[in-house]
Amino acid sequence: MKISLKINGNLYSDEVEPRLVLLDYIRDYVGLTGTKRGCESGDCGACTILLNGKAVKSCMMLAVQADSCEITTIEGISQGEKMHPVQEAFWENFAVQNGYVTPGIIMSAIDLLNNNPSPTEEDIRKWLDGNLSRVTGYQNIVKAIKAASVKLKENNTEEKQEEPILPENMIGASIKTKEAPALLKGEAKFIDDIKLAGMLHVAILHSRYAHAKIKSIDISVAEKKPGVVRVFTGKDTSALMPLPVVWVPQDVESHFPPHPSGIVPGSLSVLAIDKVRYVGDPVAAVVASSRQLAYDALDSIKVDYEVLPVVTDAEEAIMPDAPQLHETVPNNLVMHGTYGNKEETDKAIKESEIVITQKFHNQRMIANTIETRGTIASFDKNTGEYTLWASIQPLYPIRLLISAYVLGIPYNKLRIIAPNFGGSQGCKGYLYPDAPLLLFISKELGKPVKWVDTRSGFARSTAQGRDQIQYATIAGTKDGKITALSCTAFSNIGAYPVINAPGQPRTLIGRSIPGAYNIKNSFYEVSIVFTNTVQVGPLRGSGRSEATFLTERMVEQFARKIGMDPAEVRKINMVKPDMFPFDNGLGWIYDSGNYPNALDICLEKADYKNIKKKKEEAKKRGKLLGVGIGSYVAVAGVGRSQKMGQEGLVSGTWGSANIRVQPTGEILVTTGAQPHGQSQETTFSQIVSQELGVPFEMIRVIHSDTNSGIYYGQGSYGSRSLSVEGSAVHKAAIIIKDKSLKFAAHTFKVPVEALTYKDGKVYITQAPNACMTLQQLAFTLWLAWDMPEGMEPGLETSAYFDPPEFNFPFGTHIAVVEVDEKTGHTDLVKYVSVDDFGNVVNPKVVEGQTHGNIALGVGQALFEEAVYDKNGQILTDTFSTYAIPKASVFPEFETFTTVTPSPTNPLGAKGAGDVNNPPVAPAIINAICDALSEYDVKHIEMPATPEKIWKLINNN
Amino acid sequence: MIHTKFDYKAPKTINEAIEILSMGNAKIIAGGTSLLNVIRSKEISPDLLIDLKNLKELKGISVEKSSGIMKIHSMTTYSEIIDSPEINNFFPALTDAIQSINNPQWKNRTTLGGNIAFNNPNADITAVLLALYASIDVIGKDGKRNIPIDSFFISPFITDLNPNEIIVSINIPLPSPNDQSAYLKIKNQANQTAICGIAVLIGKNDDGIIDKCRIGITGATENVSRLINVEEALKGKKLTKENISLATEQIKNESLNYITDFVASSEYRANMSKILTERTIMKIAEMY
Repeated sequence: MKISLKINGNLYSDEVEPRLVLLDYIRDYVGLTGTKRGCESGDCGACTILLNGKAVKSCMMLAVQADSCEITTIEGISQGEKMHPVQEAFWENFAVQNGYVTPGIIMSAIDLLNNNPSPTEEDIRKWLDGNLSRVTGYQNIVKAIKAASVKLKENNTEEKQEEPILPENMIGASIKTKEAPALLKGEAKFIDDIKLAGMLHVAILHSRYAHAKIKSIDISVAEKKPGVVRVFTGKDTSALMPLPVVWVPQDVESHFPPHPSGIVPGSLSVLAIDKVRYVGDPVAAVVASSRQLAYDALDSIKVDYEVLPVVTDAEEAIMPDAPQLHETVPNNLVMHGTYGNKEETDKAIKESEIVITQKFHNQRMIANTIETRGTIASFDKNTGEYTLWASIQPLYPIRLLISAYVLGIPYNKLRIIAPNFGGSQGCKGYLYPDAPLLLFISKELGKPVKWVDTRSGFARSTAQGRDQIQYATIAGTKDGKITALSCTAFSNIGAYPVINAPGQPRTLIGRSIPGAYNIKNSFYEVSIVFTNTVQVGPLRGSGRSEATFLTERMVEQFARKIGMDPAEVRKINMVKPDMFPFDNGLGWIYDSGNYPNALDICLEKADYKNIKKKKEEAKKRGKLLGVGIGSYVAVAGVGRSQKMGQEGLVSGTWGSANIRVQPTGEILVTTGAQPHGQSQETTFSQIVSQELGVPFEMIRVIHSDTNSGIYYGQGSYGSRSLSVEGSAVHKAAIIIKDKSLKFAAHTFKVPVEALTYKDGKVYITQAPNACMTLQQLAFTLWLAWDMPEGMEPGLETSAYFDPPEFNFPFGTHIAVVEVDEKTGHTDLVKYVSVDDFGNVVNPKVVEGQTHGNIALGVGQALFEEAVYDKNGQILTDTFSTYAIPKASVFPEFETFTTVTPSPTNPLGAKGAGDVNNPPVAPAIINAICDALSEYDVKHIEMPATPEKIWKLINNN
Repeated sequence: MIHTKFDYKAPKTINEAIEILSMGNAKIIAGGTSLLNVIRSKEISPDLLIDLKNLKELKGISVEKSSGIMKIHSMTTYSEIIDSPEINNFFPALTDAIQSINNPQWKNRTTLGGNIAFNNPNADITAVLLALYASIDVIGKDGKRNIPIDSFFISPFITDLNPNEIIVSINIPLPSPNDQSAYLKIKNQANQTAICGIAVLIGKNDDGIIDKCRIGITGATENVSRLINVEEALKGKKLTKENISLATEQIKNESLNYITDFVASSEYRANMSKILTERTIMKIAEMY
């Protein structure tokens, strides 16, 4: 039917189906893609628009309902280049990270400020509960909205003329990020915003059973559905190789599915052939003229399954009578892993005065980025080149894996472009079947094809996180010295391995369990197990979070058992500042730090000494107050290629960079990092600006395209970007500087030693008027005819940086909670963090990462869990059922830092992206256990729901 | 994305709406905030959606002093309700319930009529309307009728509304000077609905004796219900802590079917029902 409506002042008239959702109308018909698709169930608010001046979620309306209405989208609020005051405030307050949910939040904030020009912090947080943000922790958004309310009242929308920051002061300056404006205006392109001419759309049918044989697939009805071009099944894709696994430890026997290359083991097939092993296993793909028609046809594919028994628990899966997932994997056991000396540790435990054991289940989580995943593929038959658009953290490694191990094509025939990411939390760090599948389909059909997942699809198609059962033992003396720590673990990695499956359960957890402490004997062993569940891979904080949780919970239990202050026990056992470099006994060499200092500062900021008084005061209000500490040290900066190779990763992990100083003076920096919300365009520009003494604005950082200045790079994961990729950028800048000096020396006919490089210029130290700018040098070098002997023309270089060691950020977090004794409801009332990231380039950017890490940790501690039923069906596949923490559950985080430079890289940087997620969940659970201390509660499993707490109170 | 096809009509008059509503597999769409999700998940597949947005007579809030009722017309949105100073003043429980969901975009679209017609067993509003002694004016092919709230909510997602009937208004008796109401809940952290929600209306005579008491429970039980035994135990008493505590004990005599799902067990819900009932009544005691 015909609708006419006004959007951003323009009249639109279209013929639409009544079932067309307003969100899809705005995006697909009108082409305004700043309004984002997140959940399509009215929960996340990414699609918020103003309808006749009021904020509404456009996924919860039909387009026909909006007939004759006036709509404003994110694209309609700025006046030309001049941003709306709310947008400006978001930029100035670092309220944007990956920016996917930002347009929706801004539209909602505008409605708030229209209704309530002077909202309180509480008003803002409650209002924001209508919008989810997975990574910002909401804090800077709240600040931005407050700032916007002042701007709007003062009618002061004039942008302040800011003093430019001089290049020599770049490092350590909180410069507004370069990435933000396009995101704030809704102009930045994410995968779902990209349209190619002649593009077809793909829908993937997931297995509905967790374990079954495929007897037959009937696609005859689906093929005849409107708009359907073709339906593919495993028969069509059987020539493609299964996905590879590229982390294969050589020190133990391992059992994986096979891979025909014979070089690496295998994982799942692009489309299942004869068997499905989890709810989500891809079974068929429909290609149609629109996304709607492709998904419409899915129901018409008839798959005849023979249902098999299901196992979802790691400990049950290795029992002799458990259902077997893979023929080549007896008892579903992929491999074991051990770190440390078992005998010595057992002996130390036996001889200790105090021994405590505890079982933990570090529960399975869903990354649930607000953007789902999507893939676009295109094949050019004239050149034989494939192009893939997908949000992938390790762009170049995935390029290699797809070309060499799945499609069997030359590396240079595949180009990968990553659009903006709507968050990752680690889940976009793998190779998924959809990427090669779409490349294959695009070649078969000779047309570009696009697949964008749904929210419930995401819960089935995208790797999940954590899921480890741990049996931990801590031992020590009555006066507080920890003598031994051991852990026997069972890691549930789902039905198939992700590309780096052993990394998290083995290396990242196993070597990390001693935490911030000097523990003489520690031992870790793990069984890595397949079950009929979605794949598990690293999730933000990966490995370090599972390790820190058990360590910090055990230290806490130990302190309580001997009746000592848990802070004191930590201090007694912490690695001391004079012990660095410190070998933790399980394979990590801690680089530098002052762990007790961070603890002390945190105790002071949290007013720890007055906690007793606060408990009494809370008790009068009927609340049980508890305080919990989480201290941590987290390996970061992958890094140290030789060690990674020894761990089993079939790849070096060095950083790479390329710098080209243009003849016109602009500096192009290509990085091997793969930004997905961390603002490397800004921070890497700061590094180059400082090193080369040129204005920040002259520098452009390029990434996200394998056809750019570098040939291979590792991408961004595990908090490596600044210390490894940033150091490569730094190294390249120094090479540029050196070449500039050498060339200037030749031009001025003086020795290099007579020259000074400063402020982007080279001059003769004794005669500063004899001077060439970097721009002049570049111009001359690119057109060079008179060069010193042996020098190549041009001013460009590539550089690689492989750190000699990992780096180890550290710190202490403290949570204060209040528990409602009658209902078990927990309020997080105070949260203090003290972190040490070494030298920091842009403090506000890093602060934003801290907020995100705290938010995810709170989510794990209190709310989040991927729930499966006994048949392997996932029950928490929407945002209505999977609880992502909302703005109103958080207090204002009080974040502090200390600075201990890392000796492992020239920037002195340590990782920051995910390193301080690990202390969050244990701090909160420690706090809850403290609050419940009068009930003698030793442990509570995560998520600590009101019901679990209530049961503990009532059973004890 | 919606996978089933349907027609859509936005009639200009109520009579037209009733006429097309009788034509077959049709559903009324108001705000759509519940309906679209069940259509998306293919739980229902209507052939026709009838949008009531053009029916001005279904919008707005009016006080009818003569009959002593407040009429909230069915297409009034939650935002309009919480912006009404009269509702805040007369029926704090209603405002509490709507404000217990922090979702401003939802409030801008969700209508009172649509929400009760859906009768989700964890909706907040249903318990409040039970407590406030509301009644529902409906109109259909066979004319108008008034449905007392106690017979409106039949079972989860089922109401007394006939397929060809439209809700015109929700009528709530204006409170006496000594009436107070409140709503408290334990929230599902994912979708903010009630794991257990308790709405209470209490009236006292000039001697401070409770002469009116209605309590609604939602979220915890199979269907929204009243706590008759607790109500009876309070009537004729003074609103003291001890009386409240004693009366709340009566919840064990209610015939209620507490539900278990992966969010909470029936055991937890049953216990919370008692605690919240006590707290909600205590909250009212403090309001006097």
